[in-house]
Amino acid sequence: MQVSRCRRVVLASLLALGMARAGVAQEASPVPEGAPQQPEAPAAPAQPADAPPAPEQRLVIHGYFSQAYANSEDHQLIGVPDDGTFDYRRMALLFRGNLTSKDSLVVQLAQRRLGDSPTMALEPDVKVDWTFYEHRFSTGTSVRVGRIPNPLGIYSEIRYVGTLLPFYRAPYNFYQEGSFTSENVDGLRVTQAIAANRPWNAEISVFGGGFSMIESYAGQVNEAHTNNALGGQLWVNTPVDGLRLGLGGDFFDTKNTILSSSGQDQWKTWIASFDLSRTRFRLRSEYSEIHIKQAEFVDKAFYVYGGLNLTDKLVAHAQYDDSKAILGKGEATVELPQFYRDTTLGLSYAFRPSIVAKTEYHFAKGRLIEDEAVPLGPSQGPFKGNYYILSLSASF
Amino acid sequence: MKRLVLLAVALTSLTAAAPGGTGDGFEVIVNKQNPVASLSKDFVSRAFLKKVQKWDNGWGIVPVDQDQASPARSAFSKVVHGKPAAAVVAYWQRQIFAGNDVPPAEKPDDAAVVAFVKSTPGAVGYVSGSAPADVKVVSVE
Repeated sequence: MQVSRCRRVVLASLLALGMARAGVAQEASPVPEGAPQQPEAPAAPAQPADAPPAPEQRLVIHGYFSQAYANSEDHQLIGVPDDGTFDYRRMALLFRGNLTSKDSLVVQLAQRRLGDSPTMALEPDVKVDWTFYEHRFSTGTSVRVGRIPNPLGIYSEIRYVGTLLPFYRAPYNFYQEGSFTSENVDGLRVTQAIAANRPWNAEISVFGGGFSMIESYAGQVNEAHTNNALGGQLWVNTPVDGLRLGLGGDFFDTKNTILSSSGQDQWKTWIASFDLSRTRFRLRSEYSEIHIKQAEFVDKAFYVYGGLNLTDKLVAHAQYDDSKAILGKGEATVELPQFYRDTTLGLSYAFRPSIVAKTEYHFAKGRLIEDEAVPLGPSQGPFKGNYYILSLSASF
Repeated sequence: MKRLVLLAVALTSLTAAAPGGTGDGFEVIVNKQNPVASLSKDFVSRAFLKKVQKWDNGWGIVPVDQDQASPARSAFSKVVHGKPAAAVVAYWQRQIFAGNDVPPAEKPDDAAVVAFVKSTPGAVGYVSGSAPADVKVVSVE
């Protein structure tokens, strides 16, 4: 009888305990995300979603720095001489003022040193990379006005951030370095997110304005300008983790160009991008076509890049970057393969995500060497210009 | 006796999931005035990546991270983002240097996170140990 009573007491106790805990768990059972529940405390004061940011986020300063030693074993390409140089550097300071959660003012100052490149004659010690105001609407639309980053391509907006790049620089044929490119546009950019919460979603940017562009050709260095650039970039994010596809392009008229006898020309560029980025590996490829009308010049370029994490900190990189130029038109067309061809192998070691050391070797050939004034033509080049770069990058 | 044991086991399993926290080395906390009691991992991840800006009641979401070397951050990143903390840092580097946005504020330890969440109605953070009573623990599923 005593055993039976004891059993009943234990059973009752267990039942009471279980019901009490189940009751508490039921209160915390899953609810639709973010949905209000019966408040336990008095009604909370309203806090608008677009309230000014916390004081420590009102003005934020970031920066990056990449210092390299570069040495060519053959002809000079992209400023790399055959006696080596430490004058190979890229750094920037970015100031971001968050006026509200939807309004920002961004200024980036930068310095680039490109060794013995003739473009250094026109490169200022410190330049204004960007200075723009941005407003973000609740519809997924954002507008930037001022000197804005050029949005074309995978690396365009981050092309000098060494802690994010597999090599010292972004793929040369696609992004150039120091000449025949502009990292920014003085004008306006409108971006719209499409189906942002869906597995398939997209982002489209349209931009317009003007910019200056250094030209370096056959020993000459010049600065061309445009005031009527118009372009766009579409990114499609797929349900496959880390996979996105891009299409973009721009067109503009140049003035004061050395590429045509009249000093004026028209450029049209089309690009396509493939970007698969996972934690342990990355695979990227981009294709571009540039048509320069008066110069009767077409450049077709592509690269393929693969990166593999050997450990959490050590990454192996390989890239093939090639282009061909087509001069003239009709029956006078001449093709120049290996306009710039570069097979690169490298290793990077991340002491931490914000400090990365790299070593890379470029098996390179090109037709626009810098140590001799060689005009473009089928009988000239390509010239061998193998080089290596050792670099250290940091960001904060 | 056997029936008693079986009944005890059944009752215990019903109540095994403690409210709040994931048992994965961190607990997610919000301000006590926030009415939410449970959140999905996807929502928490998007909140910390600033891809969702508001709670359902219209409050602005204010995420707060811990230091990059923090074990709580490492655990949080793996469980909620499904990626190591270094990958999330790289995501924020890209956002910063594309001029898009800045990462959530980083606090050095649990106490600093609790103080921030306690004083900020829309805040959401995480701590490594049991959260004190002056913030609310939410379960993440």
